[in-house]
Amino acid sequence: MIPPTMKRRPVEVTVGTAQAPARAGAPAAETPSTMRAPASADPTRPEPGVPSAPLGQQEPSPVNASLKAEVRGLSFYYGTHQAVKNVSLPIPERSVTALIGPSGCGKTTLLRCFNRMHDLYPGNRYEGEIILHPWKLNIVAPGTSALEMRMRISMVFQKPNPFPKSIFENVAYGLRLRGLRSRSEMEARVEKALRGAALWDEVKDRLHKAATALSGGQQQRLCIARALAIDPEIVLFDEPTSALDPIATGKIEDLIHEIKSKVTILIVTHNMQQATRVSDYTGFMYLGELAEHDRTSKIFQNPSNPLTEQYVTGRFG
Amino acid sequence: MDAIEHSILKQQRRDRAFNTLGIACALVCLLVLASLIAGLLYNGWGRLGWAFLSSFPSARSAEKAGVLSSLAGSLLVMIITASSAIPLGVAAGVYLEEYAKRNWFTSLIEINISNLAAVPSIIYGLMALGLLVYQFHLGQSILTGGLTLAFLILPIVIVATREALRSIPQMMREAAYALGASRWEVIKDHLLPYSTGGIATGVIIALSRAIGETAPLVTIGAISYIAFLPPAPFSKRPWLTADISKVTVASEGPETAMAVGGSLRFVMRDHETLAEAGGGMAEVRVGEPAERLRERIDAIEGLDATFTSSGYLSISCEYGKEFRIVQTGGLADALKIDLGGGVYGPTEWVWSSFTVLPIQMFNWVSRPDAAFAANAAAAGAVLIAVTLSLNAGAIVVRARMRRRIKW
Repeated sequence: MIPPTMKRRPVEVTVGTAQAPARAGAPAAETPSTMRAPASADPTRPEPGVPSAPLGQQEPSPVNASLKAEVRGLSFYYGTHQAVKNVSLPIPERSVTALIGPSGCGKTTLLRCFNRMHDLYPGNRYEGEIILHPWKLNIVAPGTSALEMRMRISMVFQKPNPFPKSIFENVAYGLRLRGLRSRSEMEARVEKALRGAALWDEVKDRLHKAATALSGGQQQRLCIARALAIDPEIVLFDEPTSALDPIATGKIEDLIHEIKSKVTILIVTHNMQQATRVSDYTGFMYLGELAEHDRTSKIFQNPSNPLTEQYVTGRFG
Repeated sequence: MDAIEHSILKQQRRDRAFNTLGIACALVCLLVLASLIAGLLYNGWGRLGWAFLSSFPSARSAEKAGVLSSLAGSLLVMIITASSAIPLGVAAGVYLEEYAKRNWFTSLIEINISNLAAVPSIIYGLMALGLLVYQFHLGQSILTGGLTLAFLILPIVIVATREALRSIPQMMREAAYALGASRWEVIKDHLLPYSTGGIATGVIIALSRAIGETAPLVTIGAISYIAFLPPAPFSKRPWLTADISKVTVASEGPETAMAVGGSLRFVMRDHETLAEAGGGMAEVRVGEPAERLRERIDAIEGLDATFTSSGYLSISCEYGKEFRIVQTGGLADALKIDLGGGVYGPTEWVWSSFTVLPIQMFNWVSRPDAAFAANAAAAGAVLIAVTLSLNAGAIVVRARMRRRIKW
């Protein structure tokens, strides 16, 4: 619920110049509104999600692409504590959906519903549906196999967590779980995944060396390769760059931008610049509820919920 | 300024003082161990040698006595202990850490495992005597001894396994689950390999404790004087012998004899089988509990074996049945019954009676003759050498496993 003090703050977003390419060259100091609408913070980075049409002409329904998944009235409970409250959210196919919100708002909890990670701990309960298209499967239904969902939907975690095995074994493990035994095919698919994660050139000479000897950024890209190797339908990213330096972060963001042509991506991030850089759609969560969901450009430049506006302009969170 | 320098100097002095104290404490431990080993070597040096390792104990001559049977007993008991306690303890630890739900029942199990580690070893001996010897009729065998020590070290192995599993970061489990691994795959492919080092450390400590134990083995009835080795796998099985005067045998030549009806009687004593013969007791150590022996003899065509009400094993021969006679003439004339098959099975040694190095040491120490005291010291040196080499083996295993796991 929205606390009374948060309500009805005056909206202070400059709408007219919100179109990103138009602002690309603007010096940061020129207007304070640049700070509050960080969609173009990095002019060198492409802006995949920003529509070229003026925002005013957007349809009320934010998503017109075909859907890969659909959250419908989802609630999630840790024991008696309700962490996600009646969330409905479309996940468009082959695009990046970002979840933002202050700490403890339930965004990571929502993300971890998609691969049923909550099943690992006792006392957790789902209500509602997450429909996986085109199979019309309810991911969180008790009858749905959590193992099957994790084979279809892979995850990259907040901290790089490669297995203490070789680089090759890290990427190969998911394939082994799926019963792949052929050595030549395994090698081909490991290489493909490492290339897909822009790591192949750095590790091709030491595939059988320890994965833990890699740098933090390389480890995270290895984890992305591990997640990609199994040809997932959706990849979940849980604040994938929060433990990395800016250069490694940039590489991961480029990577996300690259792989979204093949796979649907859902990313939780604390970094609003990151959300604007990598995502096409953004959901803003607050106290377990989805306060607003729209195209990323709309969320950051012309949010309809005053709370969203306050959050993206950095006034709380 | 002076005040700062003064306080730094004071800190450095304290640091040096603690350093010296630490070295002194470490040296105390080392010196005790070193003087212990030196004492054993000094006293037993004259006896140490190949002859000492390869001779059976002798009641008469300390010079001819050796530790062959007790060394073999210690090693074989350790094989049983390790091969039962490690899988059982690791499985229990994995269950409690990864599978069991947290409720009052598992808390009860956890508290009891911690308590079990503190139970005196002789209590385990009493439990094994009641359960393994009297209830399950496993006899005073290597199997019983090994299982008794396995009970003893089980809590240590379980606790070590749980600690090792707990030290694996939760994110490793999540990473594996997120790729679609089942619980068993996570355990088999990740948790067990990553925790092998910690488990091996616990196992080393546990086995070192077990190999020095005397009390529980004396309680279950390990004998201090043993002058034979347990049957090696696939070695030739001895004949069960009885004086031929007790049965009517129609001899048809040196190689065969025909039992013309009649019966053999065997005295059962402490689950050892003794054949009643001639003027005294001819010991036939088939090294197995009476009931198993009875079943096997009974299974031989032409022989019936039953226990009489007074505890004798009565063997009846079928009329006209042929048995081999190995020796003829004089007192050695004996009916030898082939107990089925020509050789021992691969696991039959577990039924043999045994002694272990600490019991052998104790036996020699309690002799008044000073020459036996030297034997005891030499046996102590052998025991320490065995313990250290067991540990070294486990350390090598641990190092190899750790090399494969690269944190």
